[in-house]
Amino acid sequence: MGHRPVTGDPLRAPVNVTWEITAQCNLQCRHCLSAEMRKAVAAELNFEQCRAFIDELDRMEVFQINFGGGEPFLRNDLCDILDYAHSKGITTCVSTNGTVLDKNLVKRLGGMKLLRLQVSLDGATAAANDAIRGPGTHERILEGLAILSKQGIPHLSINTVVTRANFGEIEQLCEISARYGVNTRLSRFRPSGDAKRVWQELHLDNSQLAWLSNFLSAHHEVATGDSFFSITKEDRRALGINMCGAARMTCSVLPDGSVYPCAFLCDDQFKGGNILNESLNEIWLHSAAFDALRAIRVEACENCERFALCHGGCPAVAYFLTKSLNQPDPECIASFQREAPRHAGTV
Amino acid sequence: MVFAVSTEPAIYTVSPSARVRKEAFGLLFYNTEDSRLTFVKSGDLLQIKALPHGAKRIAARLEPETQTRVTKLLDHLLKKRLIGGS
Repeated sequence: MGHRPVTGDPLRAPVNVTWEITAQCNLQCRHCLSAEMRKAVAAELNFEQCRAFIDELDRMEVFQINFGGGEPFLRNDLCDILDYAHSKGITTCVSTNGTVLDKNLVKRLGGMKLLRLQVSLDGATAAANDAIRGPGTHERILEGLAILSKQGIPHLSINTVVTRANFGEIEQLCEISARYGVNTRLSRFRPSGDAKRVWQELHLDNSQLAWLSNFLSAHHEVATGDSFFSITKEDRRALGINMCGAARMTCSVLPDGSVYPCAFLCDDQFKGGNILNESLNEIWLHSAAFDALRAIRVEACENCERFALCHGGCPAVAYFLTKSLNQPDPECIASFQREAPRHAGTV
Repeated sequence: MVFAVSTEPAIYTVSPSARVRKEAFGLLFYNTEDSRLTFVKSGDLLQIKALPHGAKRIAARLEPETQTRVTKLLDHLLKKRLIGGS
């Protein structure tokens, strides 16, 4: 019994599904993981198709849907979609850029007991945030947070993708969260979508990663955005990197219904199918792409004392940086601790 | 908590804030309040019983050879408030 899978077999259904429900967005963030998807996707599911998909998630007993995009609230029917999921007992989490919220919308969201909201803010200062998310966005995001906070949305968090641009502002970001009475969530920066183009400029170096690991170990109240099903504090202390849930506990659905193991693994070779052509259940249980991802063996990690906890880390980062899925996560803290003892004292 | 040995299954209610489903290893619980998962390696010792309106119960068979293990599992689930008393 515990928080980690007790079997090597895949679960019979995802625990949660990340659903990029729209390709529309009003911002052009420099590190947007969905940038390529947004250009490639021609259509998005209509409301009836969304309802039918939620019916299937209900039949599969999926616990949670994480809505992303694009900006989900640019879909006029998003609240109806959320209501429908909630009517099935499915918890939802919406990741929003916070700039398209108004009082009427927020009032309606306030009545949704199974809703979690995550507002993206990529810097405590306008200088850091706006360099990533665009001019004037810092002020607009804080206005959105103020409306949400005033409404008393119970499960509200600020999510920050940690980059070199905001690395020095993490403590200030926590202070902003405290000011609004919301949670802080820090997400890994991954070389996916447009982030591939700015990876060299924005990714953390080893000493910064070590500092971040140390910070997370000392601040258990700060969540990590890598998954919405929380890891234990003990795992956090030992790891700094979570075990990958792609194709094991989660999968990602794009606006047109295409299914991938993870929002960070949306290259053609990882496509499992499309829910308009086959059921998610069929894709989850029988897709060759999903089976291939489940079969990954990161042999270089198998003798590591942390292997049982991380299984080699994030395959998406390994894939985009090394062109192989069978390589250790290049940002593994344990690995560079061994290679560079100078970091040992900082973790 | 002590359970009497019985051939009749003990019945527990799944908490309103919890969801549960069957997996090959046993049961998988999800807490809607904090999104945490609990993997219960119970095999077929604990069964899910569906009720009208989506509610669920857990039936635990307390046979002599498995009583200690089942009792431990139930204690853990009660402590985590994923299930309530029978």
